[in-house]
Amino acid sequence: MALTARLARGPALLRAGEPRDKPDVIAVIAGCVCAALLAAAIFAPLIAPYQPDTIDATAINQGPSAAHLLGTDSLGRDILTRLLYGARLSLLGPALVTLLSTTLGTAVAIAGSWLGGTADRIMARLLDVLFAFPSILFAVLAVVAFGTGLLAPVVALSVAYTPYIARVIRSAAVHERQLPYIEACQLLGYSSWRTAVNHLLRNVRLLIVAQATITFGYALLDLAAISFIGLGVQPPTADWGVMVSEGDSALLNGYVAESLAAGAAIVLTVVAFNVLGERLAARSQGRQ
Amino acid sequence: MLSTAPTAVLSLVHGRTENGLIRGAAMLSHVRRWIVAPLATLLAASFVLYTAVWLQPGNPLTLLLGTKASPAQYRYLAHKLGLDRPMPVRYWDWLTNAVHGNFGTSLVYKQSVASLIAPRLLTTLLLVGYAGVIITVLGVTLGIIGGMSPRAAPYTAGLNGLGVAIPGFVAAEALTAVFAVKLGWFPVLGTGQGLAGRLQHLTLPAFALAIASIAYVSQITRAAVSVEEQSPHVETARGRGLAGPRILRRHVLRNAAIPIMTVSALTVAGLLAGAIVVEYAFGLGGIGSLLVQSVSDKDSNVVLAIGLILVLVFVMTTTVLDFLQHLLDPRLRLRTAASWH
Amino acid sequence: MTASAPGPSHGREVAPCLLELGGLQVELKIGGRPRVVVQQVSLVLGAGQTMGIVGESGSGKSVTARSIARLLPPRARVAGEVRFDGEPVWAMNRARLRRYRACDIGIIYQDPRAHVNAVHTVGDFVTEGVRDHPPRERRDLAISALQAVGIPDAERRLKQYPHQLSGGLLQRVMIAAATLPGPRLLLADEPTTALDVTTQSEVMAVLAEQRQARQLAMVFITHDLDLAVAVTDTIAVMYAGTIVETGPSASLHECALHPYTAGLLAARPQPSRVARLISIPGRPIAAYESGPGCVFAGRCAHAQQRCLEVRPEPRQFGSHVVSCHRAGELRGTLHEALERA
Repeated sequence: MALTARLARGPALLRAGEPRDKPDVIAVIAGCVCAALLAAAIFAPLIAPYQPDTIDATAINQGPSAAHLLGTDSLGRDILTRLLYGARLSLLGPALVTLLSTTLGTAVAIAGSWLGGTADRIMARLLDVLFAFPSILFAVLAVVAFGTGLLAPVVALSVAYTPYIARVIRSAAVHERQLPYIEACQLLGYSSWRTAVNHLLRNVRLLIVAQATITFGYALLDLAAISFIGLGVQPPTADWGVMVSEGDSALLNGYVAESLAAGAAIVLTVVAFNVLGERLAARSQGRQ
Repeated sequence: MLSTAPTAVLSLVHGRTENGLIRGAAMLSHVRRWIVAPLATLLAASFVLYTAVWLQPGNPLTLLLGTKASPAQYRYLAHKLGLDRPMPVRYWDWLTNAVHGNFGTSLVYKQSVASLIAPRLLTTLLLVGYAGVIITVLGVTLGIIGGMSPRAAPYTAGLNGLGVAIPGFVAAEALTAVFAVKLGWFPVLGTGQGLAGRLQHLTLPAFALAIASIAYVSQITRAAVSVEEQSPHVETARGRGLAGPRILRRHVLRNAAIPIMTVSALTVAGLLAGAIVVEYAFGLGGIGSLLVQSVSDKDSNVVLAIGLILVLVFVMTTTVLDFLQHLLDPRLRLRTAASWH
Repeated sequence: MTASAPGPSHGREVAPCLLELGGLQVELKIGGRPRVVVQQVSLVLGAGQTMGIVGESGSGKSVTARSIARLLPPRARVAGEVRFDGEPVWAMNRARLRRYRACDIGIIYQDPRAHVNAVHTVGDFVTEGVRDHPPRERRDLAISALQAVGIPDAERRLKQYPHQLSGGLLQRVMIAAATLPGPRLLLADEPTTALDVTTQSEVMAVLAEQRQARQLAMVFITHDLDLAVAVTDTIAVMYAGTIVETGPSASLHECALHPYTAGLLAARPQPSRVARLISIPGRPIAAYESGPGCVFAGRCAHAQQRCLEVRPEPRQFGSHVVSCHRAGELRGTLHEALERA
């Protein structure tokens, strides 16, 4: 009885005696960069030197200087300030998408792998339909139906990413489900819900986190693209995608700061989150 | 590899396997998988597409008649255009027409959607094709180098990690700033005339579109090649004294080809979606920029047509790929579907 | 420590030496650092003779076998000599090395599923080793090779893929492919470990037949002492990357002179005896984990202070060569202890 109960706690407990792994330097650096970006977004009003909307007609399209660390845009607004404030929307969108799609995807995956049979097949067919749409197209359709702004693309992308996440989690869940400790749980009389949530879920959680981090990067790229083509966040609101677009005319005249600074912010964020996610995924694979 | 492909197709068509029972079941599941399922998916997807457009706020009637017409005029036009019928009926009507190539009329340009799309489709296909060639050549080559040479590996890995994070529109701005504005080697906007002119106009957009995918394909190729290079069956080939190039071709690349091909083709299919953004950025006259324009203009028929094309290409590519995968990997041929794809 | 196959008992003539290993030392990169996995291995094999290399996991036996074929990872560091027919293998240029692997030696691996490329047919696999023959001849050669290893319906099998054959059949195919080019030496790395017991004896029979028919010398790697005794003329027992005892198989079985060999013999479960299984306390170590003294000292019941400090040199005791300080004293008593138990 005691042994079954111990086995029911799953591989995590059996690994308790293993030596701790060395900390992964690159993952830590990536993690710090991600945290710094999130902090910059949250504390933007405290850090930013100016207001994002302040127009200064005397300081149009200036390069980096002491007064404006990254220069000004075509309306004389400080680019650094707009980057910091822009981080709020540019990071909030992907965060929402990640949260929603990960929750939905995990629920569908766990339910599918647990229930099996017809329910699983029906879910697979439904997700097939979603797989037929490139994610950007789905976001565009949402804008068609519900108008521009951040909300429609966010919801659309959450739905569009769900099948990809579900697929990854599902194959891991199917693998876990066959392990003996799940049967031990059932023998102990645990309810399906309890076994699935407390046990199965717990052991794939590292993979889920890794997947979520990578999803964040993709969501950022897609949302910024939607804003760039004018269907997402609307100017004059500060947002990285909007800034790349707004900076286009200045760029054609040789003033690259706005466009490229916003572009660099996007790339940096995605790299940081991707690296973190990949390292976490590698760890979770190592554990399996 | 090429010699087995026709045999494989033949064996699928004639069902030439040992056991007659297995043959029947296999054929049925093949048909279901590669013909019925994609069609069903397309049907459902087209319905989702239509619903999204149908939900669109705003009234096409006001677009055509202005806001000052009388209620009777609106009703008349609504009836003439078939807008007063229930949605499922309108959907079906649209679908059956679309299958025959009739996508209706553009509310904005006042010409048939098909004639509007056709020349633009060419531009988009040129762009995607150009980018596809760049991706395949550069991506796979970089990947093979990274996979076969342990010294080059960290550099290619770093470049890859950076490359996948660069979206089309950022690459577009950066490339324009350097090569068009600063160096003046390429034009900034527009589609160009004649083949040479078009290619020149398409070069920067093609590279902008390709960068992230080059990195991705390179990553996958490197992983696949390096896995195969260290696999036991390659050890067997070496142990038999086979020549290096032969081993590379018949044992490393041939086995790695399956995942590499899958990823490359999926990536190229995804380019169509990326083209939307890149065409907008460079002002190219393709269906991507037309889509963005039509969304703003609320030109429903155009949005529906382009959306359907994108979905069609996507589903067709994944299906054909799945089929080719089965052809190339004999292990998959008779396996029952235990997972989702 | 030198192992040699016994010459004919009546004369002074020594069988010509086909394979000779002298003081072989191999370092591999493990956990990022170079570690010694094989140390001071010397052995001699004459034409047509078989030698078994017996040891537990981590004893270095597979690495030794691969050193003979020069199939180590590119960053391995090798010292000492491997000579085939007097020619140093590790000094061969690329062309000679390929010919050596193709024509002089044949290798049979443990897991046929992993070691045979799944995307090519059985026929392709078998004929790949004889590509210098014209195509028509190759097919006939392949058919007769498969028939020689007892595979019925060889023509049909040629067109099949590896996953369609059972493990035992596939291993026979591997044997056929390895012997087809007419090598003089076979390296068999645990050829039956991955198979079930009945298939094991069939495959061993096929191997014995091939050996007889072609007068092949063989190095037979295994962890199964009984199997080695049944199949080979001489046995070399490896522990922690070094050879601890060598001798004629039958003699080793009756009267082991090294405590480790005796321990291995004692640890085998006997169906005739109902008793608690005897095992050697501790776990097997790799070469780089051993200290300055005898590699087995840490687990030896007879170890003394000298054993921990000074590495024993191999010494001749009758037909055996043993690396043990106390071999002389313990002689005879090791087996008594076994019988008592």
